[in-house]
Formats: sequence, C-alpha cells, structure tokens
Amino acid sequence: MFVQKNTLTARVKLVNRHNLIKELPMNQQHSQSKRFDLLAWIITIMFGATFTLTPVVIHFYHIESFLRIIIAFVPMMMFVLFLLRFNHTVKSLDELGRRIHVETLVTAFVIMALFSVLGPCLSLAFQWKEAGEILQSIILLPIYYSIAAVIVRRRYL
Amino acid sequence: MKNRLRVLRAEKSWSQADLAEQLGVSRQTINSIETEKYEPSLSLAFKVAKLFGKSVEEIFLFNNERG
Repeated sequence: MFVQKNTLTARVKLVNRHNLIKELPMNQQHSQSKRFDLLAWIITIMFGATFTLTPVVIHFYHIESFLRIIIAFVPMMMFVLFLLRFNHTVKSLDELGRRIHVETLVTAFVIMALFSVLGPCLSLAFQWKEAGEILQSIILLPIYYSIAAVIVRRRYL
Repeated sequence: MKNRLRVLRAEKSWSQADLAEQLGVSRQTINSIETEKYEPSLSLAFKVAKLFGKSVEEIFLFNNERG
C-alpha cells in the first residue's frame, strides 16, 4: 500500500517539476511575512519598557501621592494588554502552532526551574550572591521561553 | 504514523501552501505531517480524508511499534 520513500520523492518531483521551489524544506523557505504581528511586538516592547522604567521614574523624580499609584500600575496594565494579545495570537494559530506554544511554555518553565536550582548552587560554590537572585528572577522568563521555542520548533519544523 | 499525504498532494499538483489553505492550517503544519514529525488531530485527519475523497485509513497508516 505504501510506496518506498525514494519512489515517493521521485514521484513528487515528477509531478511538480515546474514547481520545485515549493518542495524545498521549511528551513530553506522564507517565512510568511503576514505572520509578523506588529501590534503584539509593540505591546511586548511597551510592557518591557514600562516594567523596567517605572521604578526608575518614580525614584528619580520623587513622584508622590495619587500620581505615584497610577504610574506604579502602568506595567500591570501593559501586562494585561500583553496577555490579551498573546491569547489572541495563540487562538489565531492552527493546531501545530498551538501545540508548539504549549510545549514551549512547559519547556520554558522546566528551564526556569533548572536555573532556579542552579542559582543557589552557584551562590554556594563560588560565593556569588547575585547568581541566586538573578537566575531565580521571573524577568528571565522571556529568555527561557526563547530557548524553549528553539528546542521545540526543532522537533516539529 | 506513516502517511501518503505527499503522494496524494502530488497527484493533484498542489503545493503545500495550496493544501494548507484548503485545510485551514499553516504550510508548516502540512510540511510537518508529510515529514512525519507531527501527527495530525483526528479532526484534521478527517478533513484531509474528505478533501482527497478517501478514508482516513487510506491516507494514514498506524504504526503499532512507534504508537
């Protein structure tokens, strides 16, 4: 019922010999630019910027009272926007895309757990106090997510 | 799980993008299924079967050893 793999490839090439470019492996094709979500990137960058800069602004400009409370919650508002956009992006993906996202998140948390254990170990071994604090920080989650994305995408794409 | 998706697609002279559009998935998904890196969901398998006018068993072969 199933033909040998070599025969399959030959047959595909025969049928589509005028469209061989379409038969290139994924990693040799250009990614579809329509998948680039500009709004998602803007919101992500805005969240990162507000999360980093808000404490600096409050401390350096000695902002007090009600305005301080409003400014302090700007990163939270940006994070809610980020989550909404993230949810929208995941919903717009097909089943493989969603699977990759879920596996990436799980892998990212595993990597985060590994580094959380590694941090205190480095602190004890090299008397490097900052290592424990830095590696346990949830701020590194985007980096862990990026590492996990590379690992998971290699498995499926 | 082995499949005949690449052959069936070739018989119709469809590109991966053409097939992906008709099934409402990405081209990457089609590529991953063809290279047997990803096993489609039941609903997608039925969609594929319906599109090619065949039964699911004619397109996808369950390999007992690999699961």
